[in-house]
Amino acid sequence: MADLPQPVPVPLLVDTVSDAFGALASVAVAYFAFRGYRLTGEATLFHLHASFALIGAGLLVHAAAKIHMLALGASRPGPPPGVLRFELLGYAYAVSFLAEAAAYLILVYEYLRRTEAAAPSRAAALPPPLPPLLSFPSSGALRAGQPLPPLVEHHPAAELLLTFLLVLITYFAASNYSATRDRGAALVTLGFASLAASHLLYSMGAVSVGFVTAAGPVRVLGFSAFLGVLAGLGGEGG
Amino acid sequence: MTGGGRRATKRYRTRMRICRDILDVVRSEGGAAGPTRILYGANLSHERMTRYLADLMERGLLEEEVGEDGRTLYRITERGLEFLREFRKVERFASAFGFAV
Repeated sequence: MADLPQPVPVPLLVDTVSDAFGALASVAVAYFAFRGYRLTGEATLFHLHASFALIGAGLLVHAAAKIHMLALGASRPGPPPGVLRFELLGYAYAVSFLAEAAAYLILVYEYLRRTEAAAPSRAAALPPPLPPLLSFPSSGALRAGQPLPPLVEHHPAAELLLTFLLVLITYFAASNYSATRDRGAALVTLGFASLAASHLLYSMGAVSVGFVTAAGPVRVLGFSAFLGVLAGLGGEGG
Repeated sequence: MTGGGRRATKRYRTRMRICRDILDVVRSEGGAAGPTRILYGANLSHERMTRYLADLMERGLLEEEVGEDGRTLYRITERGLEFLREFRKVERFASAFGFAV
């Protein structure tokens, strides 16, 4: 039995498409930010470039691993071997998670730097103190000298960490929008808010796989908003 | 950390930002402007302005010409206008994220 190729699971397919789309959109934003950096020499644009390049690279690795899995499933009868399933996807997810976390940290740093430069009274400008970050339950697994284990795909703790960083970035983007009322700023706010929502949905994947399926389109919406910013630049005359 | 020292809130213009300001002054004057207009419009010292004008002309963004009254004028080229358009796009892009360039 089970000699026929397995049907493609819908959540995996949606996730793969949203990863691939997100990677391409991020590369487009990173490219424009780099062009801006070359033109102006502003470090801020280089940081923006670096953060979107990291997001794009991470999503590309994750998408490539999933495409590989899908191709394996389509070309051979029965499910792919368990080792491949967990090791490959787990490591690809770990790469994607680390890249995204680094990217969002760069953005948070850049927003804090900007806030500090704009307002000397930091206490008034910064958001109110937030509760302590997540505590990872299995801290014993992260002993010094041991290689990091691959993360389980869409690990709730990892996803919540990304959600936290994105909520912070959304706060800064929304502050910018409330000050400027600019269409581009609205799209950036929508983009980061959608990414935050998608990671929140991913974190609830253990409750129901429907959340993972829903997260994909939400993420596509977020990256489409970033592409909308670029499209708006092309549309407006100089 | 930074100790008690406060980071200066004044933003210094990058070299490219100064080039953009000069070209913007020339463009807003109808495409050609004299050195005094540029000096005040771009908020530069005479020495720095001379250096920047030479650089902009070398890169083909401005060209020097003599007006009917014998005064020197600097005219923005098509390449200079293209530079301004591109710079504005970058400014709008950065501003959408809440950053100034």
